[in-house]
Amino acid sequence: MSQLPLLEIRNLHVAVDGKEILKGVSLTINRGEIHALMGRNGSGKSTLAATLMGHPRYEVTKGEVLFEGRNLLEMEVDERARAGIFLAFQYPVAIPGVSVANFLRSALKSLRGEELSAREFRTALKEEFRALHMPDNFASRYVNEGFSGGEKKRLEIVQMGLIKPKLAILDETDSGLDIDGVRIVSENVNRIAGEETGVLLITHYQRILRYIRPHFVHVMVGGRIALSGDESLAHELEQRGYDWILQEIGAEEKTLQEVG
Amino acid sequence: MSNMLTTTSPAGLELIEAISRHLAEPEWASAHRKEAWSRFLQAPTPSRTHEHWRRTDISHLDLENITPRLPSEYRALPEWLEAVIRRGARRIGGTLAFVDGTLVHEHVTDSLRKKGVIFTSWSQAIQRHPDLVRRAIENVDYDPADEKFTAMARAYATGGTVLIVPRGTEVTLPLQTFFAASEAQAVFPHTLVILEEDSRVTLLDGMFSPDSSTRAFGSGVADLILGDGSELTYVLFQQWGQGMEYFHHQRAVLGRDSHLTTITVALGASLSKATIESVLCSSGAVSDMLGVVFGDDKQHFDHHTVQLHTVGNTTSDLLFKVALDEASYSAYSGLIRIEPGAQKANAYQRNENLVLSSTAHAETLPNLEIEANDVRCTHGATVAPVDIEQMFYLMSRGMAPRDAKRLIVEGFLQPVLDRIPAKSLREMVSAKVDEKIAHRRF
Repeated sequence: MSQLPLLEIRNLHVAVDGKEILKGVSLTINRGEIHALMGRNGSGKSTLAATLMGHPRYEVTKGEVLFEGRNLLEMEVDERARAGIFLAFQYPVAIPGVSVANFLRSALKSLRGEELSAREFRTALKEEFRALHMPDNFASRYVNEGFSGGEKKRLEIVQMGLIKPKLAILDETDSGLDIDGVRIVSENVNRIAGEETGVLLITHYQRILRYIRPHFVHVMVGGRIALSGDESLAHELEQRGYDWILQEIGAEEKTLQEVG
Repeated sequence: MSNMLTTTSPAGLELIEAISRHLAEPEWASAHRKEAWSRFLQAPTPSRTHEHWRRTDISHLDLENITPRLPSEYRALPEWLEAVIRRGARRIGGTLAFVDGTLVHEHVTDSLRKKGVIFTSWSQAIQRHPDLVRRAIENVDYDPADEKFTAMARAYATGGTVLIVPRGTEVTLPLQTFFAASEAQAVFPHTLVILEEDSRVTLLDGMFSPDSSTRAFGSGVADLILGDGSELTYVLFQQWGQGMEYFHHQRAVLGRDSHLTTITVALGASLSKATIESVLCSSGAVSDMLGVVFGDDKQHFDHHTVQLHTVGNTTSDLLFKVALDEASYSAYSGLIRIEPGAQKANAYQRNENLVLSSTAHAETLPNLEIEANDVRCTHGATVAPVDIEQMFYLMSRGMAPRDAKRLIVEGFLQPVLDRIPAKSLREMVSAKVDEKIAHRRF
């Protein structure tokens, strides 16, 4: 195994429409590690996710990101995917007229550089559908069109299962899911991630962390990681909320709230 | 158009007489041609000052010097057309193929014959079923805006299909006609469909020609007559090659409780302009009009639809989807007209344009004329580039930008193609659309 970290983010600054959202994020994720990224709405969690995937609206103004030692920021979105990065979207978009099966086949073809046999694809798809408790007829529905929030989130994890990324960024995958949904999705994330995949799990709530147990927990405030710890930090947040962190970082509080 | 038979006006009349003689047409049919001919001469050549012609410039056309080939006794089925037929739809009830107006291929299943369905060429129909054809064409309406072209098409019609489905007959397998044009030719496709009461059928008119740097010309008419309680699905599959300039006028007259579905698929021709009209003149009539246009290169498309409700308790729906790449252009204009007294009419219209390049251009012009007060009527139109979030989503799954774009275009058009009811036709048309999309570099 390579000595290089899977993902290394160094002092990342990101602006959207000229407004700075991330103000110096540093984070290292190694293979097999699960990192939970928590924080209030607007703290910059989703911005970090979208930036790592290469969304064109997010402009990196400073800092660097290395993926297996390669400069991630120079790579196009599809190159990043082919390098092994996967983003489970917070709000997956609908692609009208394109069936789930057609979409997934095209995606796998692009990622693997060759077409899967129809049989191989069908078998793999059926397995993932079954694992996520989704009926087979989802394959013929249009991608995310008319899906419930929970169905969209499950389809993201179906994709993760088929793609088997090196780094999975899960952006609020738990929102929109009921209690059973959170459990099912979590079990599958654990299964797919196994020992090798790095996971960046973005969430508001502690509830998904009962199933996907993080090695590290980071709290984002005002575009920076304000505090990092182990699993116990998540429990503390659950009990005490976020305000105490603001007090703990004292001097910065005012500025951070203004921009947050 | 150096290869085309050219002629001045008096010679044009001689040509028409020659066509009539050649096809051994009865007097009334010949008179119909001559009337069309004189209308053609009288009608002014449309210019862009006319609203209907504002977006299509035809000033380079010398219409009075464009004439068809005389139909020949025998012409072989060209290899490329044979391939189209062979590779085309399976499970077909009947196929006719014309090249430059001459019938070159005719296949009708026995079961169709036994049912008494007439599916044959224009000239044979005139001989064998003169009364039916005569009654239909005597009531032909010359739309003033398109008269120059429809009159020309009726005067010069050589190849053409007549489909007559007897009362109460359901034709389960779809029928198809291929109209082909050779390089640099002028063609005048003509389709007449008569559905008697409570009959049901699906017909596809496919239009093909080889790509050419030489200009070719076409002017076609389709008359669709739906008897009470009948159901017609009519697919116009316009796949003319490069070089073709094609004008089309389609008019459907809907009887009581009849149901028409028209699906216009326009992929080909350098320039094409079509008017597609449904006349809902009996209570309970339903018209669904669908369209798919996909342009590239410098293709020019101009589609005009008319949903005309002359009586109440009638319903019309329309969905026209246009995708444009490179320097292609599309104008869509749609009129919903609800005449006085046509209460409880429902009319819907939607036009969506997906613009794939900065040099492509789409125009959309909905128009409502509503003269009754108890109606439901909605219309909507969009012109938009490819959605950045959709691109991001697909690319985040490893797809290169061109593959992502392809998938989005396919998805944009597919829902309309999915509404072609006959599986065999649906697959053939979808494959051709996908083929054109797949060839795009984006």
